[in-house]
Formats: sequence, C-alpha cells, structure tokens
Amino acid sequence: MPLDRLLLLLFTANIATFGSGIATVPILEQTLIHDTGALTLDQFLFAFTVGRITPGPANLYVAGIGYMTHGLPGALLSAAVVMLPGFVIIPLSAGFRRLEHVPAVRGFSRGLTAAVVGVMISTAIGIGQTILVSTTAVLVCALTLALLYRLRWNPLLAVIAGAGAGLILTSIH
Amino acid sequence: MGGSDSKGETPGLEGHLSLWDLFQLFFRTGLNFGGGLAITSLLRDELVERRRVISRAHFLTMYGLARIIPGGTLTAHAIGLGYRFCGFPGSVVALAGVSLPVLIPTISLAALYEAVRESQLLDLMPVTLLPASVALLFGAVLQLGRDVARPSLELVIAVASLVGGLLLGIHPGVLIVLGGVVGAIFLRQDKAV
Repeated sequence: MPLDRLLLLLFTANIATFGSGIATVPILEQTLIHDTGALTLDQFLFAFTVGRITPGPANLYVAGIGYMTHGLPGALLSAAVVMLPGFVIIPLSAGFRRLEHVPAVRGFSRGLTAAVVGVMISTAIGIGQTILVSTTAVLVCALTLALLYRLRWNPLLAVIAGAGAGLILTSIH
Repeated sequence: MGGSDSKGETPGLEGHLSLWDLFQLFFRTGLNFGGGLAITSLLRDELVERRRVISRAHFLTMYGLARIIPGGTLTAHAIGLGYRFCGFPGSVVALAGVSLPVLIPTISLAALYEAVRESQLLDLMPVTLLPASVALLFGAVLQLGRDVARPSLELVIAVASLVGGLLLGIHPGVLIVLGGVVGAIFLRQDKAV
C-alpha cells in the first residue's frame, strides 16, 4: 500500500474515532489485512500488542504499522499524522475561558464505543479462528487472558508469562 | 519556578516553565503505564499542585477542549499546555516529551519483530506471542463491553454493529462512525454511573 494512502487511512481513522487506540483496530484490521493485504495478521497483532504494553497515547501504535510497511520514515510519518489534529487546540484555546461541555461529543463517544464493542467481537472472532488452532495456542490465550483480566496483571507481564508458557509447552513435546 | 498564588482566576500571574522543564516534565509523566487518564492526573498534580504554574480551572478547561478535538486527547492536551507556557516551540516540546516513551519502544520493537520474521523464530510465534496478543484483544473487548452490557441504547448499538459486521459484511469504519452519530443524537446526557 503506497505511503500516502496509508497515511490518509491512519489520519481518517484517527479523526473518526477521536484518537481512540482501540476503536481504530477493527478499521485498520479490515483495510490493511483483508482489503489490501498491506500487512499480515501477525504483523498487525504485534503492532497492536506493542501499543497495549507501552505507556502514553494509545493511538501511537500506528507507528509500528508505519514501520512495518514503510520503514523508519513510515513510522515517523504515521505518528505525525495521528498527532497533527491535536494542534487545532492552539487556535481554539485562544477563545475559551470557560468550556461548555459539548453533549453531542459525549454522545458520539458513547455511541462510538458501543459500536466498537460490537464490531470488535466480530473482529476478535475472526482473528481467534485464525490464531487459536492448536491446543497450545488456546492454552496460552486462556492463561494470558486470565492473568490480564482476572488477576489484573500488567499487559506486558501477562504477555510475557503467556508466551513463556507457550514456549515451555512447545519444548515439552 | 512557580508563579504567585494560582488558586485564583488570574492567568496573568501564572508561572513560567522553560522548554527544558517542559520536556522533562512531559517525558517523565509520559513514562507512566496507566494510560491517558493516569498521565493527565500526574500532569495536574505536577503543574497545578506542586509547581503551581497554572490554575486548576485553566488546566481542566484545556483538558475539556482536548477531549472534544478529533484525535488523541492526551496529544491535544500536551500541545495546548505546551503552547500556553512556551508558544509553538513549547507545544512541540511537550508533545515530543509525552510521545517519546511510546514511540521509541514501538519503533524499536517493530524493527525487532521484522528481524524475527526473517528468522526461524517466526515458527514459534503462533504458539507464543500471537495467542497472547489475541488475549489482549479479548481483554480490550471485555473491558469496553462491561459498560455496554446493561439494557440500553448502547447495547442495541453494539448488537446492531455486531450483526452488521458479522452477517452483513459492512465495513467496521462505517459501523463505528454510524454508532457515533446515533450516540451524538440520542445519548447526550451524562451516564448514570
């Protein structure tokens, strides 16, 4: 996928979802993997995972995608493109003393999150069907999920533990 | 370091920060793993309470503005705050500060992964990293889904999006924006949390 098309995609998806690091996942997954084949599933999953285990703004995981498709310039430009809309705050803040909450935006965010849940279930089912094809894979996934969601481990530690368990299970065979 | 008393609404008396101060502050807070909310709280503690260089009201106004701008909240907030202290260079410096803790590992790990893909290690991925990644995906869905699970318009939107995506093959982007638009019209009150 040519760089300019990728950047346009990232820019649009970022704006449409108000910079959510999660809402862009189904959109990018559909377009980059299924529609255009610009990335493989494992590449995308890796970029997503890195985004979950790093601190800071959640939408910067796209820098990983940019790197995998277009090297370092791709990474930096991808990051730039999702950071750019933020600069609009400069002219806007000049005029504001008291901020009125904008109910429509709050509503948009809630509706968007709800739609993301529905769409993500669909995406997750598809990805799960592709990846969870061996007993080991299922066990690794279950373990990681339990550590993450039930025991509330830090995502980085949960992934390391799960992947490590998979490694051990594999070497036992 | 700080300005004079910043509890009152007198922006003219708010304090100053140098570019270097700005960078250090945003970089340090950017290292935190709690996500946007945790980082914002830390910024507030530092700027409003500890250093007293900006009033709480001004900080929160900026935050509210950052939330309604399309694009990341934390990004916009950093830019706005940076601009307020040091003009345009300040906005860039603050943004860089809060983003570098993400960008450096992200790009390095992506490079590492590309190297792994060229090697034998790729065979191990389907039974180690990839299922763990899928778990993170499921985890994210569960986390978001908790708020949506009660009988509500949100549940309807979620189910409709699921059906639209799974059975009708509608592009996720369309469904997501549609959900947002429906929400903008019908979900304007504060959530009963």
